[in-house]
Amino acid sequence: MSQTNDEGAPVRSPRKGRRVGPVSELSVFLKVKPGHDEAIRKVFHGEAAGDALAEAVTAVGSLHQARYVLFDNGTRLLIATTFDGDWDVYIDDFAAVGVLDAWDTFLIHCEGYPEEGWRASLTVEQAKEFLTANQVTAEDFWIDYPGVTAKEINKALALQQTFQQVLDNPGAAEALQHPALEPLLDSAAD
Amino acid sequence: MSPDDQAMLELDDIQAGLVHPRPTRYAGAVLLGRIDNPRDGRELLRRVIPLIPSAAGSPEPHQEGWAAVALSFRGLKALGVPEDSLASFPAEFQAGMAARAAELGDTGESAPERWEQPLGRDDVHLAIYALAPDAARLEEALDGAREALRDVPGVALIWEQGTYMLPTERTSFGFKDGISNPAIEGSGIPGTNPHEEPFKAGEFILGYPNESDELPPMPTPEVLARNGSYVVFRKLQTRVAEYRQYLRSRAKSREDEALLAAKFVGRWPSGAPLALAPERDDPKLGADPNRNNAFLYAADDARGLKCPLGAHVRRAYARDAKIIGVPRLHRMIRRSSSYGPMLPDGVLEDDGADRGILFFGLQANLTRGFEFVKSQWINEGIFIGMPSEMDPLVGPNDETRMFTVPQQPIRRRVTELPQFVVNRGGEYLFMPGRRALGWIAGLDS
Repeated sequence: MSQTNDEGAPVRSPRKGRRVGPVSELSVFLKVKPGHDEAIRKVFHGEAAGDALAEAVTAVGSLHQARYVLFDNGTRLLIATTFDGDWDVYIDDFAAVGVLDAWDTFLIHCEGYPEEGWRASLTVEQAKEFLTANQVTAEDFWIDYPGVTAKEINKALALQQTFQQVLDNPGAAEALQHPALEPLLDSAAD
Repeated sequence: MSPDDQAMLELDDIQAGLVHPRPTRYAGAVLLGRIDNPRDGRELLRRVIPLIPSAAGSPEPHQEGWAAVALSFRGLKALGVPEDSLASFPAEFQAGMAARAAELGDTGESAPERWEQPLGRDDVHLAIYALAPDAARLEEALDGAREALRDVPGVALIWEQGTYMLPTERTSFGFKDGISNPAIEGSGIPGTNPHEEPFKAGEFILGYPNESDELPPMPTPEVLARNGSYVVFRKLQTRVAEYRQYLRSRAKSREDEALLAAKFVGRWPSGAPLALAPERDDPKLGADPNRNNAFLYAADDARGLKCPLGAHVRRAYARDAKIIGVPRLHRMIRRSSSYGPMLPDGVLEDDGADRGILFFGLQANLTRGFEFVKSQWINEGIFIGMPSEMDPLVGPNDETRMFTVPQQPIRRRVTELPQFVVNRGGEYLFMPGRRALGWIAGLDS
């Protein structure tokens, strides 16, 4: 956990990134090693592309979205994610479930990151510092559904599906007449 | 040195209190000292070291009194530990607990400016935890300690707090405590959960690999760091009358009151876990050390229908439950005990007495241990997907949060939770190995 910002002033973690309710944003801008952009594309489009990454982020359980953008003619890479809570205090957890290993596959093609991978030459803390050093806080961070975690969103979506199943039952209109179900009946018309 | 070379714990160098579960009944005291003169401070250490048993000894309750010793960052400085060594300690330890208040949620009534003096002050240098089988033998040991302190005028006794564990092992909220202890690899002492793999020693003790197969960050020189641990000390006042009133106001019957209380804690008063005794207390189960911690959550209580996801013990260590992150990386050894008189059973009016728990949490890395647990698991609910809830029992609630009890057919919610536990103050301490204590005692400055 970091105690100071880049100016050395004490701050609560995380040092960078904005947060709306429980959801935080992380944007990391990296320089691609000259000529390595094709290798990065292969990581995302190759045969086993993304499997390990998907598995790892699912295991973490906090990620809403992640985007990996090659830009400036493949000379730079943006990692942009939104997730629940803090990320820096979870860095050990990310390492343990394989996120750092999955990110290794493209980070090794970025400047300042060891080409032999983090396990060979970085501590977890140093891997965190590499990302933090290249992180830029968003000027603004807006969410259409503030205040909810990925887990709650997935639960709400599952509930909506269940509700639609109920509505497909021929007895639904009659069942929803009960006064306790009035708010549900209001939502049943469309 | 490869991780394998370090697998054997140097038990004879590790303070016993770090590895051995505390005795089940005892009287104890915490003494805090201020070191005005480094030579006297080191002389006191020399006198105390022989009273500190090592973890190589018997884990059975000692017949004589014994002690554990830990030092704050300012204490290390006051003892004359060299500057480059001081600078090698982690930032949060150097800052001290009071400086970490915002991070820890020690605000409002728990804010450092309201702490009991001298807790949180710069002159808390040295902590001695003295333990004896009963009050008489403790008093004998303390007399010896006080005498030693009189002989070394450069060390002042600035705080003394008695502590004890009832024979029932119940704390002021009425629940048996201290049941769940991790096994430490290489210690030879089994943990209390047979379904849980032993933990790498480096989660708790400096100088050994941790669960990430890394050495925890270590101060220098190695002789000072090795076999040490960081101790989180907090005097937590429990508002027992308020807690009982709240439960009474929300419960439908006395039976329901007991159930709701158990849902808050995750265990029944006997210690029987909800995961194994979801309907009612099972005192035989609670009393059986082979069974009362033998459970996990994921396989048959993923939704928390037995033990709520937000129950205190499930938050404090979610075992194999699906949460954000990996519970095993944030395990602490807990050595808590009671202070102050118990509020008699059935009393709902506050008697004005100061009572609660002296919390001791031990780990090799404060940010990965206590600071993570307090900020992510106790003060927030994001890790279980419930951002509007915090720990119902020990979280810094402010009457705006609720607590969800999953149950069939319809979940239950209790709202407007007040704060039942207030931090009266505390400190981050370093508990050196016995050789390291000798090294400090032998410094010349």
